Amino acid sequence: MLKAVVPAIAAALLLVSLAGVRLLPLAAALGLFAAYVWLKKWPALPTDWNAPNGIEWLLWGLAAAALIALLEHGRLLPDKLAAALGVVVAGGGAWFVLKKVAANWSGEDVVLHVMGSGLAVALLTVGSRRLIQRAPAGLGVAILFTLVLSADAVLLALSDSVEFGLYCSAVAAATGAAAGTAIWRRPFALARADGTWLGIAHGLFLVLGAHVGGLPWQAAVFAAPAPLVPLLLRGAAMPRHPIGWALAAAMLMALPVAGAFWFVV
Amino acid sequence: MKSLLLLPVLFAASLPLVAPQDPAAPAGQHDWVVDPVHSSMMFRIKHADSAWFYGSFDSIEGTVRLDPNAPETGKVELAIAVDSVHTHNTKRDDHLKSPDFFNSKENPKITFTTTAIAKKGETYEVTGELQIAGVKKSQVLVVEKTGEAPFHGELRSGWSTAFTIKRSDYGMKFGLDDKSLGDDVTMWISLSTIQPKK
Repeated sequence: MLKAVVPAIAAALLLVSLAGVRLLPLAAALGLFAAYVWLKKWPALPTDWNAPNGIEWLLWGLAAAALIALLEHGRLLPDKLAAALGVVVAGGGAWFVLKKVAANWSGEDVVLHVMGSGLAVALLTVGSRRLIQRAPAGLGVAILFTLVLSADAVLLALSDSVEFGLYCSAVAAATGAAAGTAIWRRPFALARADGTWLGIAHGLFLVLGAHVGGLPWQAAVFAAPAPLVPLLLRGAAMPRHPIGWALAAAMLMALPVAGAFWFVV
Repeated sequence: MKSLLLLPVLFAASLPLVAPQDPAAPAGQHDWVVDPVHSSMMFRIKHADSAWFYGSFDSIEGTVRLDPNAPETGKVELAIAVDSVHTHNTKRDDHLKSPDFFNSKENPKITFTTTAIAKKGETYEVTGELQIAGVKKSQVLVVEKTGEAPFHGELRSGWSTAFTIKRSDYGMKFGLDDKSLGDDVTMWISLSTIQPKK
């Protein structure tokens, strides 16, 4: 467990303390990379088209999403272009993550599962960006996504995919540690750009768990929309204070997350 | 924006739909086909740094081509189905198939393909590429021919080998830190092969 989360926490504390929340996507990608190298092996490079496995493609997909978020944070990429690229990385990421396992599927399964997964991750990416845009500025969304990714990690670990759970916990730890920097470094607020990599990480881990690991597909279906439940309510129905907003959002997502755990435990 | 929704379809269309084919069946005087019913693959690994426990793979397929007078022309190809792993505990079998170990959905088979064969006294030194959990490593097997005899109208031969690998070399590190499972895995393969009728 420590091998998974310590590098991610260290990267988040260092980078976010030095240069602010805009470096959080880089910290999360680096944390995941370090956890994989420490727990497993050096990942195969994406230039060797057929070599990476599902988790390695997830790792490269998160790196691509982090790069898009970094460019958007730095205003080097317009909002709409960044959102479109995020959707491309989400859909493409799902395809790459499933590439190896789909080689053993029938044509119908490939179309159904790869297309469905790609669409789901793309929707999660768009939805996460919208959620961050609508949420009150502050710690609230960071707390919510730390909870979401932590729940994903536990679901994966309970589904005979302990290592997938550890990698997911690295991303959760980076997000949580970054939020912790608010103690000595104010203000802290995620931006819409962060919705890209957070949505992709949440979606791809569930896709990977359901198709490569042992996560029941019903659990993935319940867990996937959990962070977006607050979008169903009008803004006035949610508290405006970031912590109050996070508590309300956590209570709202408790139902789908509980449903996911019901299928796993 | 709508055109972006077509991307997954395009991705899906470019996926390979056909599973890799098995090696072609040989037909010469020195060609043999593995009889999966009478072939075995056992393994052992140390649990909790104390006791060995044993398991097996129940499905082995493959071909052997070996001319005793020209062993360097030989070829051995084996494919072991990971989903056939059997350790007398269903929960443990499922965990062994998971991404923590063999990752059977992405890597459904353990494969061995020879790169060189040499005769060493009464045994053969068979060098090949052993692929486990998607990681390919060179492995030398000392293979003994255990017999050859006609049986029910078919000529059969037997081959046996034992070797030890480090599972961490194949990216399987689960349980190493807390020593719940050892790193060394000893495997025994015993092949019963049949000479196909011409």
